[in-house]
Amino acid sequence: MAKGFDIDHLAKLARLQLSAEEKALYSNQLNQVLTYFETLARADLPPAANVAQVIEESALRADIPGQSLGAEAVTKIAPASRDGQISVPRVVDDES
Amino acid sequence: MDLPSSDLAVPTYYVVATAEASSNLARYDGVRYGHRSTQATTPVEMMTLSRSEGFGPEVKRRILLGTFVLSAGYADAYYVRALRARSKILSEHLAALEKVDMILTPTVPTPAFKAGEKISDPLQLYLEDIFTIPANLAGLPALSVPCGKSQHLPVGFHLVGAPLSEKKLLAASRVFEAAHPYRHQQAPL
Amino acid sequence: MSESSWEIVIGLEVHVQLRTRTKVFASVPWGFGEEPNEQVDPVVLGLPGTLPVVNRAAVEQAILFGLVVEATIPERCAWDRKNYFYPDNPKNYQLTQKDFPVTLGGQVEIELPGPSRNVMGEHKMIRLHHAHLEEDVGKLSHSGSGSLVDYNRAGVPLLEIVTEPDLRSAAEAAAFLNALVAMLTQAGVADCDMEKGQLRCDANVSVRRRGDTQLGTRTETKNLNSISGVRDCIQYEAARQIRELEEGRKITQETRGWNAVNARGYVLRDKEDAHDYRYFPDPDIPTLKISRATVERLQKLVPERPFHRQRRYMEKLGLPYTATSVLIADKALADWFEAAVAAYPQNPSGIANWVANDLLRDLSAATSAPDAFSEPSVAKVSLADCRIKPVQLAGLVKITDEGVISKQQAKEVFAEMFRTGQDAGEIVNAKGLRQNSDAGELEKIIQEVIADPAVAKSIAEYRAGNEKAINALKGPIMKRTQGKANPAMIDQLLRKHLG
Repeated sequence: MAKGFDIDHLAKLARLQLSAEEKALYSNQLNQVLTYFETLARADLPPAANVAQVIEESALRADIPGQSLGAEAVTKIAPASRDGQISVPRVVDDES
Repeated sequence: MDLPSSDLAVPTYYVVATAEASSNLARYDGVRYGHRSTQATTPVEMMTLSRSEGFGPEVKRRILLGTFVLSAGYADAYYVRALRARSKILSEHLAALEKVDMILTPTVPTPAFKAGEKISDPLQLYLEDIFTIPANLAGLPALSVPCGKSQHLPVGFHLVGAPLSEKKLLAASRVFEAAHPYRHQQAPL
Repeated sequence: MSESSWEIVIGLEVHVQLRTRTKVFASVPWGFGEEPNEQVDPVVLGLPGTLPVVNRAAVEQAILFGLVVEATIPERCAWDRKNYFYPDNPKNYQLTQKDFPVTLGGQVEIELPGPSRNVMGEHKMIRLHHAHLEEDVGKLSHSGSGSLVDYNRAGVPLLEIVTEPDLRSAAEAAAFLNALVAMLTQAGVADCDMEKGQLRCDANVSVRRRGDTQLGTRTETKNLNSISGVRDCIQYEAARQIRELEEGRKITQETRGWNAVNARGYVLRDKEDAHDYRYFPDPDIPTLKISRATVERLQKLVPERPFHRQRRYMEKLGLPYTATSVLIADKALADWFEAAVAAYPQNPSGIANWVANDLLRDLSAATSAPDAFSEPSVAKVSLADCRIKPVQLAGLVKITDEGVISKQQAKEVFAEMFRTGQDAGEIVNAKGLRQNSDAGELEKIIQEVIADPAVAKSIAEYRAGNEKAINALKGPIMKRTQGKANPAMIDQLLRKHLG
């Protein structure tokens, strides 16, 4: 099983900033855990996962309007807001 | 009774659980609620710093592990295989529970360890869950019953039943507890 | 640039907001034009501990769409998480369907522009790959150093319809979107109001030398929000790719944006920066089993497909192409037309003429606001407010055909009918418009006119074989009846008297 993770890439994907010490620590721990996970790679497994849980349409929700929280409640819990909207640093086109 | 895939339970669980955790915890980004870092000038920076400041080491470790097992090039080897292993663990348990009413194991392999003792050794920490994980992966009802002391610390046993056998599990543990009332015992502090 | 030696290959991903009252995974209502963040609840906002519950109406709208385009409705569908961080994405994952979409396959018939407006263009089937049901994201607006987030749109049910790479020109792509919009709106699946962002489109474009069987490297332009935008963007992008290749460069597989203001595309990110979405099955929503009973029930709601209707009008009712293309663009209008034909089946063409010309003209004059979806072929008509009922128009056509009133008088009656909603008969009586079909009285007038020496020359010419000369007699007759005479009867009686 391929391990070969790139801790910088993972941190970027997960939106985490890691110090040099943290990088070393987590790399070491991930290596250890992933080595143990190799039993999965060797195991004889069914070709596909069964769908464990299936629901019928009766479990779906009827299209009946419920309550809205309202902008006041939304902005009350937001770290920063303006005019009923949540404010964040300026987003440039497709920054993600 | 035979559960040959027991050794797969812990790796399977930690692949699936960390994958889900990495995604479930993505909402803690400092945008809508919770901690927001004051140091950021861009949204990416704001999310990254808020998360880095707000999460503790075990959470970060699980997020990194979960992000890895889902990432391009690795998801098939880890996440998809874990889902297949989960199916196998379920079918083995269902087959076993055709032959027996319930499966009894210790709840954990060792008496309680000291707070913080295993935090730097995630593997040992995860292996503590070896007996309770299969029922969680398979979606089977299970319970833990206090059953005495080991090395002066309270321990319990774990019962796993077939789907929808909660009544049987509760009845069995009630019989045991009536005869062996360990539930009031406490660890020496 | 030698465009003719190149073939353009286009596939579209069309995002359509489904017509439901509440959001797809939360019971909060949604709609256009609300104040920011007034249409959110804990589920939409992704508050800790909240869980999605699938809206049955959204699933059924998606299935209905599948049936409209003759897709397969699989026995099971399931939702996946698409993970990416963005401030408009409340959970930082989007619930979508990757491996088990609600519909598979299907096709949409399109009509390409004909040589003129009056001539039918070429028809072509565009295959669909699948359609999947997902949630929309919130909206960002930018001001100064900051951006503001409004989550009203987050969680609105979105059907993503993915075509096969079957489209070969910008015109085909536009025709496809027009046909798709007609099917979606006519089935009541979606309103497709592009000004409200209810239909957005991503265009995958590649080019190859004519005759090549391999597809070229494609680019994807995201978030086109009008049909003209799609058309312009494809033209621009295909021309750009051809120029690159002809000048010896390679096409980079990249994601692009489109600036509608200066009509130029731009690079958003290249393949190296491609997102790693870490898709996995959503553990919160179990796989959904779709019963065949539901599929059968929804099958009954599938309206007649627009082009099927058009062929029926042309073949069975003998309507001209031009009128049919107007009628089929609006289901309510076509239904209205059919109700009138049911009341008077003798003259469908006559009825179609009134509906496609006079009725539409007067309705659009009466409807002040122009439609947001402003493709000329899809006229927005508010038939709900129309005072004329189908059976009344049928009555008007009938009395015109029977010669009770002349065609000229019929226009006057129609105008009055449009204003008041009265029956044709009432208007004719009230205005004293009844055409004079009393043969006895008319015969007397004809005899007097024929006796007038002023027309003797015309009579002589007619008798000598000049058919047209008879027309010179009709004017004086019509004048003496004050225009109430039935022209057909005048003609018939004149010929009788002139032998």
